[in-house]
Amino acid sequence: MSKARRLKLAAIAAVLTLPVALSACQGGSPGGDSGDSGDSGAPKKIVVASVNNGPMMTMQELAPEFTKQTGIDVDFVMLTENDIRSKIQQDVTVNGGQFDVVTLGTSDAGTYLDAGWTVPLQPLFEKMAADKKAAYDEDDLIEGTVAAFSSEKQGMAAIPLYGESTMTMYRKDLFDKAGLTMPDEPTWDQIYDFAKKLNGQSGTVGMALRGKAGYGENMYVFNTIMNAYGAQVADTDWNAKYDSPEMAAAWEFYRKLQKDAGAPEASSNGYTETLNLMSSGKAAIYYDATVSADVFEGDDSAVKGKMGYAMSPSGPGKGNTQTVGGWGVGLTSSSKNKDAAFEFMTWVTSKDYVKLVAEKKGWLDVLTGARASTYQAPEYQKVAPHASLVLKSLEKVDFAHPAVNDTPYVGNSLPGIPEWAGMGEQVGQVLSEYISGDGSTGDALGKAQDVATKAFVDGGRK
Amino acid sequence: MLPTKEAALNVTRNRVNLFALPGLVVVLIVTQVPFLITVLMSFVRWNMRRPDLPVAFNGIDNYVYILTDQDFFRVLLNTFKITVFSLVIALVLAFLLALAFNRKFPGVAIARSLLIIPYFVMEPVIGIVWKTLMLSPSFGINDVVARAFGVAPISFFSSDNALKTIILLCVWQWTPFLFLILLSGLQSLPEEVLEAARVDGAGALRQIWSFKIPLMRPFIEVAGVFGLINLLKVFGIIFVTTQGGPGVSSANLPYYVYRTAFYDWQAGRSAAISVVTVILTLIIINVFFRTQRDVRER
Repeated sequence: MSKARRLKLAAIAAVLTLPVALSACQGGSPGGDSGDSGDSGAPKKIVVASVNNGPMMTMQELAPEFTKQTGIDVDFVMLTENDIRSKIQQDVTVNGGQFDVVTLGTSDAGTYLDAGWTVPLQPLFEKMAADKKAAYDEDDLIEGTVAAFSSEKQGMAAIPLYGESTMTMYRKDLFDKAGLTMPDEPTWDQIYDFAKKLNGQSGTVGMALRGKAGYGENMYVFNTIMNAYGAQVADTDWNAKYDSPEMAAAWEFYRKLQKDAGAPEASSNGYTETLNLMSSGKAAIYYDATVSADVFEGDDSAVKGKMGYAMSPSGPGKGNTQTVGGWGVGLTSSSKNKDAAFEFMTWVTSKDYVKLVAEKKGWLDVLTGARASTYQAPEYQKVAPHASLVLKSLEKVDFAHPAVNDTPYVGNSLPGIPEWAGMGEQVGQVLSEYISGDGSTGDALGKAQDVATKAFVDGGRK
Repeated sequence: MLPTKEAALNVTRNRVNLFALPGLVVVLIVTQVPFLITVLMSFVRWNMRRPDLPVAFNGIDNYVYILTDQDFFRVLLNTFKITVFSLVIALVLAFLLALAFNRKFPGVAIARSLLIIPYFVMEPVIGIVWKTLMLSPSFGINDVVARAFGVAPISFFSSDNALKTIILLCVWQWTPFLFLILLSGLQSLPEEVLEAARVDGAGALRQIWSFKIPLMRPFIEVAGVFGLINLLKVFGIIFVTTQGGPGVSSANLPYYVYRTAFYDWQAGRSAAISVVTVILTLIIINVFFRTQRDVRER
């Protein structure tokens, strides 16, 4: 065989092989068929990526009702909080198109829209038919919650699915037994004293408080303590402020509380673990998202009817430390079924959906914090003794001014800046290691300061 | 005539070799192209969370960043500890178990099957079961046992213990696989040699030390290589149990690459860590093979 002939044969073989190799490299996409179905007239299908907490599991369970009404199939990808945030980010960053609807937290919603990963929702509301618009009643959405899910430049970035604040939840029976009284608006020092006294009593830990690293895990709770102590992540010139005395006081207090009265190995407890501790009767005080109260009052809870509720604790710096958080639904730019996706989004955030959940699951499972009408429903008020406190917390939140001094960012516990995901994750790791060991506060804060400074430089802020 | 025959044979060989080309092309595309892209990306500044910032060439900045990052060296040391301690402990345990199970007794087949179960369990399942059901100080057997003895439960995932716990889980997962290799080795040893040793009065320990271990060397080497390769890339167990924490106290290089890419969103930096990881892995495996060769030659 001549050399030329051999080369020709080799080239043919390579060309024939290439498509096989490339098709092997191409990953399947759960949303792959959603792109075609819209045009072909076949049944539409959308893919929803969602955090796997209680309200979202209910959403998944009731989605067949939506399919029955509209003929649109809904597939779900459900993961834990840290994982779903990462998974969604991975997809939208490279315009992957796996998901049509994504659940977003308050710190992500605005930045996703500004980055072009999701689409602005106001124009879609404006295009709604008049009768549908009236039935939806956009004005019923709580203003403060909508603001938390909006971009400053482009308006609503995600429709609030549920809104939540933070509050103190405690075991009334244990307090009564120990002769303690929780004030309506406690301070962190009081919480520490109560938790320390109750730690180890009746087989409970004093305080169930998140310690697991994650920008939406320990940092979600800790940053409200940070605000209460008068500290802040950065000053108005984007200088990192982890070296301030207020920040040192907040870190030291958080470690003292976790070590003296927290659960063993607090650094591995996130939202789910602390919720389980409290709902199974293994903790005396719990500080976290208000939505947890619905779990404690549920039939499966070991502490049903034993719980008391109070406002978020205040610190030496600032009284107003509760946050507005929760989850909303955003529509990805890469979605090929935007109409169907928006229809699902308006269905799951509608008044009718609230009624559907109440009918199928009970009033304690309805989504709260998003619609004012939910709190006015007598049925909800009857089963949720904490309802008025949650509303009060949400109304008192100042989303735009989280700290004592001015900040260059908004957001009560999770700064609404794109750098927060990476920076918060790293600072969260430093904080988690700090509470787990006996290292010096100065060293830990030095690391956090370094992380934050690099993040602001990387982000082009400085 | 002979040269002509050889020439004809060479032509045939060349033709036959051409059939290997498609496979070679596939292998190159699947393995080398992604690696080349990774190398290129390691010289790029790309913050995936900031599409408004340009993706730009930044020279060796990513390498400078990681080589001046204290966490990177802690992670490197963790990777070394996880690999070496897990491999040595698992090999010793596997050898002892192989010796114990290389005999006939009632129920030996069932016992061997039970012993290799951990190898077939998926890493995330191992992580969840050990983290929540076994070692959790609040909900696990750890709590139950501690209460029974009236002591505080052990914090297996604290910053002092997290790395040791990861090593424990790696040993639990990989011992059965190494056990299978070593057991098959023991079963293939020439019975007449061992019989001769017994007749000459060698005791059990002498038989193991002077006969079984030397004869088993090829099997121990295979087990060592497989163990080394798999322990260098442990990911699932760390992801599910500690997520590398607290801090980076239990993170290894594969998990650190993932965290830099998908939590810090620094694609270039993550690629640079990947490249350094590949280089270090190649060096370690090379040293491993060279040491084995030296031992053999001696």
